[in-house]
Amino acid sequence: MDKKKFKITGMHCSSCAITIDMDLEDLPGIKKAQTSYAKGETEVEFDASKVTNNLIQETIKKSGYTAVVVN
Amino acid sequence: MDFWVVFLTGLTVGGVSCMAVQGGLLASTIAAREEEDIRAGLHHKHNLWPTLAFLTTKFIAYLILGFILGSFGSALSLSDSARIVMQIAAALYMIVVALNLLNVHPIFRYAIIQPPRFLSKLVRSQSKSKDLFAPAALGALTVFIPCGTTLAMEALAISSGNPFLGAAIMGMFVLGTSPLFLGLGFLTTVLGDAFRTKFLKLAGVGVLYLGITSLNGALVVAGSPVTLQTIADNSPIQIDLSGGVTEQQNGPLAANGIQQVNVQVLPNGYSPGYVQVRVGVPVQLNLTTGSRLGCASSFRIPSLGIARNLGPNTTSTIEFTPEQKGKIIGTCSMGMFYLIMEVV
Repeated sequence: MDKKKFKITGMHCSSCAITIDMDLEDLPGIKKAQTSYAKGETEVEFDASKVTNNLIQETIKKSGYTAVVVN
Repeated sequence: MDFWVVFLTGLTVGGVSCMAVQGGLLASTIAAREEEDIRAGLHHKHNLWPTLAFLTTKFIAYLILGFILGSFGSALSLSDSARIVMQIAAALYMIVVALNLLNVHPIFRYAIIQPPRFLSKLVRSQSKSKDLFAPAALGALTVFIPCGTTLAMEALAISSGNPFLGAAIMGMFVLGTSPLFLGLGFLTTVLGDAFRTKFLKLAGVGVLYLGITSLNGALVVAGSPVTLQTIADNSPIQIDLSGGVTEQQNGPLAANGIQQVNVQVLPNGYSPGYVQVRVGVPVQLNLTTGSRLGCASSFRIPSLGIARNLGPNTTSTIEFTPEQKGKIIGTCSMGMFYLIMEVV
């Protein structure tokens, strides 16, 4: 399992964080997504053989936000 | 109580915050149901009924929530000072939420309490249910995933200190958010981000207004020397909004040397709202209520330490003697309505 942090811009309330969590966790290969509205970031636990950084960023983009990898 | 501001806040924020997550959930539960229908050989689309079911149970759930919050607030406000502290805390919270909506500084984001994961997961799994009653259940469950503005309204409902007012506040807010769920939501998508930001700003101004009036109300009830009214009175620019009409001049001086002041207590204020009394002469303030009571029926004169809870269809008399020139302010316990008695 890989763990990565993404910085997210465009969230305007805690509902956005819930939306991002839900959309990410719908992807097969993602174990857990934990988005914090206050910090403006999300922590994703995923199986690197099924999911790429790019796919995660694209999914977040589809939900209406932008994401950049932190570490 | 400024129910219109509450409604307007719901209307503007509903399309952005509340709709963001709840609209998505509703759409997915409608989609889940449609799959079932197609499998059963039915091909019609029916978005309206699930949406109405969702909105109805959501409305009921928030009425109940408002009632509970109002009761909680009334349990907290055992004394006037406890109520004032509670109202100030709620008002400050609303102001912080508003500052966050207005995007003043990212620090204010920390004020928005994010619902715990198990609750958002619960709501999420409900949205995938194919059950006929899924949209209705989902609507009721949305109380567990409040957005920031909803939290501000919940604070307002607590500070109302009255179960019915609390229910009315939450009900008005949810009614405000409803039109966007009934298909108008696409407007916000079409009009794009700039529009969305403006909507949030408008909601921010609404919440800010509610927070400031609530804070000011608490200050009035606390008998604070600094309130919006005293600031306005001391400002060098005086704007007369009365249209030159003075509602009532000096109360008639009765033979026994007592000034009689008769005031009607309406559900939403005092009539007249401004009277003049003479200094050093005893005042008999007669407060008459009708059958409908509102917040105005819990009457306070903070500067004189007078508190009266008025019953329906009665006239209560308060006696006092104004000792010095200036203003004596009578108010309801939330500081929303005023009876200004100017001592001349």
